[in-house]
Amino acid sequence: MKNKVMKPYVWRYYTLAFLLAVLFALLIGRVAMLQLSDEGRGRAFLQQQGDARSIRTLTVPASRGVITDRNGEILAMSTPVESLWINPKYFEAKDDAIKVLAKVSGEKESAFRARLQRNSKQGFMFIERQISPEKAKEVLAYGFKGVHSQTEYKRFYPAGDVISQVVGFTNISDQGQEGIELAFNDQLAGHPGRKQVMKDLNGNVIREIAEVEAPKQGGQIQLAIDLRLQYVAQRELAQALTNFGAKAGTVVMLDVNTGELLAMASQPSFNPNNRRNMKIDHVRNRALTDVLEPGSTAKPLSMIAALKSGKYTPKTVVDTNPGYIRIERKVFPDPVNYGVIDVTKILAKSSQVGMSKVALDIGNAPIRSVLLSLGFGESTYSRFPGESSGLFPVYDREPTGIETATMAFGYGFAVTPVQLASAYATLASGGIKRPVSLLKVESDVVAGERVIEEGVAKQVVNMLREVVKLGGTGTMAATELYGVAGKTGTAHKVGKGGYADSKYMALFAGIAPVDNPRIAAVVVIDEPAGNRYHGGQVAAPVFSRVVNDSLRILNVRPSISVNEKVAVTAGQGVTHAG
Amino acid sequence: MLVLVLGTAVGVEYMAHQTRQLFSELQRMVRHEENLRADWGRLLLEMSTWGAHARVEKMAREKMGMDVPKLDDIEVIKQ
Repeated sequence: MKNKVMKPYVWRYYTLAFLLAVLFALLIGRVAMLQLSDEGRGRAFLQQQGDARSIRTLTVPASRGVITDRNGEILAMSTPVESLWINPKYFEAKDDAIKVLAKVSGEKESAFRARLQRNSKQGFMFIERQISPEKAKEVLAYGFKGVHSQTEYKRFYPAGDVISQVVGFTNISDQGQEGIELAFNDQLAGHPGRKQVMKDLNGNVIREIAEVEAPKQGGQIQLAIDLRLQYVAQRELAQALTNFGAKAGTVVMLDVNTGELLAMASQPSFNPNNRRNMKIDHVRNRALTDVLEPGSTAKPLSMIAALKSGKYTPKTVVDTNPGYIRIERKVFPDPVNYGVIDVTKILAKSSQVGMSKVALDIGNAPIRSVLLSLGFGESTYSRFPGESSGLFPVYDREPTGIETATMAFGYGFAVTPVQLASAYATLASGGIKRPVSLLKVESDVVAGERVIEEGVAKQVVNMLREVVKLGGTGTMAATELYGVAGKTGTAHKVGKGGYADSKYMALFAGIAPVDNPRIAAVVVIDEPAGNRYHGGQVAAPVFSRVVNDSLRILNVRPSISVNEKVAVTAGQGVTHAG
Repeated sequence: MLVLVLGTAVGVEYMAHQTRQLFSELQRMVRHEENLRADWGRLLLEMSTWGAHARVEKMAREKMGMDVPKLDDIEVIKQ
C-alpha cells in the first residue's frame, strides 16, 4: 500500500532537488558576479556603499598663528581645547547623565533637558564649547552613549588689557573680529586638514585610515610694538584719566628712524580673555580710528610754512598788541597781551594772535601744502581695520581769512593721533617722512621721503625746545633724564551746534631726545573734568613720564646737560664735570 | 609565476600593515603634540600672569624697595 502511494512521487523529489540546485547555482553565480564584475550595481558600487556606511572624512583643526611684539613676547596664541557635543538620537536621558552634563554646560538640569528635547530630531548639539581637555576627558570617562568631544582652538591673550585694542580678538570660530586679528586674518588663520577614519554604528572612531590633507598651521605676525613701552603708556594714561576725571585717552609713540609704532595705548581698555562685560566703546583703537582737531599742536607745522617762505626766521618779531585780533567778524584773544614777540615765543606762549598774523601774512596755500605733505587728510595705510584718514577741507573758492588763521592754529581739519605723531616724527627726522608701520621693520633706518628742508625742520625743533623751558606752556613735559621738545594743545570739542565751551581735548605732541631724536609721541586726554584741562597741565606730564621711562627702557643714553658726571674707567677715578 | 604572485601579494599586505602602523604612530604623536601645546599655552598664560609688568613693578617697589634711579644717582661711564 505504502509503496504504491509513494512511487508516483519520486520524480517530484528529483525535480525539486534539481530546482533547488539551480537556484543555489544562480545564487553563487550572482555573488561571484557582484565580486568580480563592475557591470551596473557591481563591485565598485557596492564597495562605495559599504565605505559610505563606515568611512568618514574628519577635519583636522589647524591652529591659528601667534602674534608677538617686536621682542617676541607673545600677545595672542591658540591652545587646543575640547568642545563636548551630543547626538540626542543615541543619548539615553537618564537622571544621573543629565546631572553630569548640565553641570558641564552650567545650566539647570531642567534647562538642559529642554534644550535636549528641542534638538531631539537633530543628530548634533553642543553641550559646552571650549572647555579644558581634562574636564572633557572626565566627562567622556562616564561613557554616556552619544556624547563626543572635538578639538578646537581657543585664543588666549597673555598681555590682557595692555594691548587689547591693537591686537583685537577672534570669535568662537577662530576668525578675526577686530584689530590685528582681523587685519591679518588671512596670514594668521591656519587651513584645516582632512583625514579618513572608520566609524562603528555608534559613530565612534575605530580606526584611522589615512591623512587626506595635512593641516596647515597659521603664520606668525610680529608687531612693531614694544610691550614694555606699551605697558608704560597704558599705565600713565590710566593714571592720568583717574587724576583728571577724563573720559578717554590715547598715547602714540613712533620710532623716528623707522616709522614703527612702538606703542599705541587707548583707555579705557578691556580684557580680551573675558569679554562678558566688554563695552563696545572700549574696543576702539582711538589712536587710529578717532579724529580730532589738533589745535595748537598744529602751530609748529604751520610755522614750517612761514620759515619756508623766507619771510620769517625764528627771530622775526611780530606785534601781538593789543592782545587780540579781529579777523572779519570774529575776535581771537590771547590770555594776556604778549606785546612784541618773536615767532619762537609765539610757539612757546602758544599765541593765537601771533600765529594768526603770521598765517594771514603768508596766506593759506603754503600752510595747506605743508600740512598735506605731512600726511594729513590721507590714510597712513597701516592696514588697521577702521583706520580713519582724517578730514581735510577742499576749497572751491578763495579761503577766507578766518579759515586761514584757524587752519594755522589747528582748527577746521581733523587728524588721528597717529597722523599727528607721524608729522612730529617727520620734524624729528629732519624732514623725512617715513610710512607708519604696525609690523616690525627689520632694518634700523627706513629710507622715507623728504618733505621738508632739513634746515627748516631743525629750526622748528629748536623753537620747540623753548616750549618746555621756563616761560613756555609745556614745562611739565620736561623729563629728568632726557631733553625733549614739543607743543601743547588744548582743543575745544565740537558739540551740538558748534564748539562746546567746557569740553576740551588736552594734547601734547613732542619728540625726544631732542639732540638725536629717537621717538615722537602724542598724548591725547579727552574731556578732562574740573578746572585743569590745558594740554600743558594734563597731557604734558603724561608725555614726560612715558618718554622718560621709554627711553630708559630702550637704553638711550641720558642727555644730562646740567649735572653731567663722567666716570672715567681704567683707575682714573671719578671726575665731576660741570 | 605563482611564487612571484604570492610573494608580491604578501608584500602588498605587509606594506599596508606598515602604513597603518606608521599612521597610527603619527596620530599618537599628533595627539602628544597637541597635549604639549596645551601645556605650553597654560604655562605661558601662567607666566604672563606672574610676570605681568604691573605685578613685577609693584613687587619691585613695595617688597624689594627698588626704584628708578634719580638724576643724581646716575653716572655716565665713558670708556
